[in-house]
Amino acid sequence: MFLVFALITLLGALAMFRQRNVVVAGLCMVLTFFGVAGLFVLLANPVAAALQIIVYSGAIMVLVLFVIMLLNSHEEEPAQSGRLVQAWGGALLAAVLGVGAVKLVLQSRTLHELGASPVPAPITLNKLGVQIFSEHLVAFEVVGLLLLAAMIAAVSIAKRKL
Amino acid sequence: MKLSASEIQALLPLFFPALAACLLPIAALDRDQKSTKWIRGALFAVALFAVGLSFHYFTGLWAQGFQPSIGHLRMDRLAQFTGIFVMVAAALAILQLWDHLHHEGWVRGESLSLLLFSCVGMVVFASTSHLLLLFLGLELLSIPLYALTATVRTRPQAVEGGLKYFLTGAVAASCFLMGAVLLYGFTGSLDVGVIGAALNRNPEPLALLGAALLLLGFLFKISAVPFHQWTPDAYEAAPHPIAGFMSVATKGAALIALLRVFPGALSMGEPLGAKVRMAVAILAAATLVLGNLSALSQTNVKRMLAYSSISHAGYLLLGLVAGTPNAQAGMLFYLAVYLAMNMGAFGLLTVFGLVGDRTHYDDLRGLGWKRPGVALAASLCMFSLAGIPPTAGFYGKYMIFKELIGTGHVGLALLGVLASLVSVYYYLRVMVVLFMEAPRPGQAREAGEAPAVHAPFAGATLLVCGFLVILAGLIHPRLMNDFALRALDAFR
Repeated sequence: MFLVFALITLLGALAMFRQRNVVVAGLCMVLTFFGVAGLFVLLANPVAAALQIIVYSGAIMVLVLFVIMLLNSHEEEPAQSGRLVQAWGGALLAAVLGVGAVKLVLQSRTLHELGASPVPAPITLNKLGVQIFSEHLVAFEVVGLLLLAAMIAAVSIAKRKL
Repeated sequence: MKLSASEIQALLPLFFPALAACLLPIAALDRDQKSTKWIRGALFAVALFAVGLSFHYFTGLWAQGFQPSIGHLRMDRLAQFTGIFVMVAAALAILQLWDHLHHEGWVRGESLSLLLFSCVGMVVFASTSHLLLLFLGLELLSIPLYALTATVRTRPQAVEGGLKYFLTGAVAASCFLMGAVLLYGFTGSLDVGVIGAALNRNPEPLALLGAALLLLGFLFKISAVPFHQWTPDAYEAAPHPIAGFMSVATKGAALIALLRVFPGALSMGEPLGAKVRMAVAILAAATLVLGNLSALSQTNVKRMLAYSSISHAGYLLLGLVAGTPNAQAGMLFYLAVYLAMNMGAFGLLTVFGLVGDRTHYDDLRGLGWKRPGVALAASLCMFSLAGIPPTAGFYGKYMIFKELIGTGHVGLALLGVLASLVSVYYYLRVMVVLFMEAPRPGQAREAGEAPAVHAPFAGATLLVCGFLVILAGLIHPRLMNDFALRALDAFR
């Protein structure tokens, strides 16, 4: 089951950045989000999965597609120069980092022990709410400030005539 | 849920800047031509008032020796030190902004609101050891700064610099988040103290990778060397007071958070701790060398100051390498001094009304004699940046180098001394240009045609900075013992 969702996520991501048509790339992103939501369900966290589908696949994706269609440029512009050295260098670096990461994960003792531990109780919306408004109250308030700050920042940069 | 009195006291210093930041944009909407001037004045006054109130509460807590906390937000001495530090920097920046934005012809209330949001973010960032709050604080301090960098949109460079800062900053923030996720995944806790203990019991290579990614997030904000490329472009793009604020307050908040998280809470056992120290030592040395050498060849004063701020990040990191309580107190002392001298250095550009790209050495020629008092104060700040003895900058460097030698890092201390010798050249060059070079031909005529530069507030802040630099040099033992060392009480 894990492999299915992981493959959906990875293939969606891969297809997204191989795709030249921006709208199709956006739809591939939805696929990735669904894969991630599936992974959340497997992790006994249905709340995060629901939020993932409602917020990311629903709201944010609609927004992204809307912007793409407003801008009316469905085709990605071709790169000005084929920077071969950078491309191969980047691929090499990614490969080295990837091999290193896989090696670290395989060697990790903590991860092996985790496989034997029992499945945690599923997280409910109730638990989440209590957590947010008791332990993480300050963080919740800071998130509010952060969103307002980001909004003011975006408007103050983007608005033509203030 | 009811808040207790001590919890309210922990929140109060942050409440007023946050409230003002939320309300200011509403007032900034008014576009009635006749009342604009008054509303602008009121906006700046409200922002200053909010910063002043916050300063009042922080100093009040400090004087009482009271260290309240709410949730994971701990207003201990170190947080109060950060609060005082950030609020003073913000007040200086607001005063200078008034003059600078008028010179640029681009006065906007939102800039003040963003500045206040950023201040709140800095204090949150430096007053918690909870990874979630750390990340939120980091974002709350950086997102307004990205927009502030691009404030004066009429200049194409402003948008370019802002975008560069934003993109590199986003990468650094995602690295920080990835590091936090790895640490949480392996220890099951978001609290850095618990994580440190768990890692000591069971050192895990992947968690070490997480710690390294976390460190990267901090070093980016400090603009230490491999992550410094954004600095000159962002500073050049930003309005002068914002560049000064970014160099001082961001660096300060990030360093204090680093001080809290790495040696304080995430005190790793010998094999890992030694590796982290080694990495920081190498980065500090690279930062010193690269920052100073690049500053030498700049023709633009603002870019020179940007590279100089990179090299100062190197000195401050050296304090972290030494790691003794005295070295850490030396870092805090140096930060406080750096606040005065760097706000003074950026204020110099504001006072003479150098706008847009006209911030080259040539544009400063012979200006010193026009306003000798202010230019003298700026020169004191430059002396202090270079680390010349009677000024406070010397004592800050001296304390850090002394501890470095004490802990056996003689080579690094020697490198630091050499680097500050090199730096004398480019700081003195500013003074030579100000006082000893005749204005470039044609400049006098241009100056005659342009309206007279009027910068009362920026001039005043510059005089205050110059005074502080001398004063801090004179009473440095007191400052060190009463202020810097006591700020570290929470750790011991």
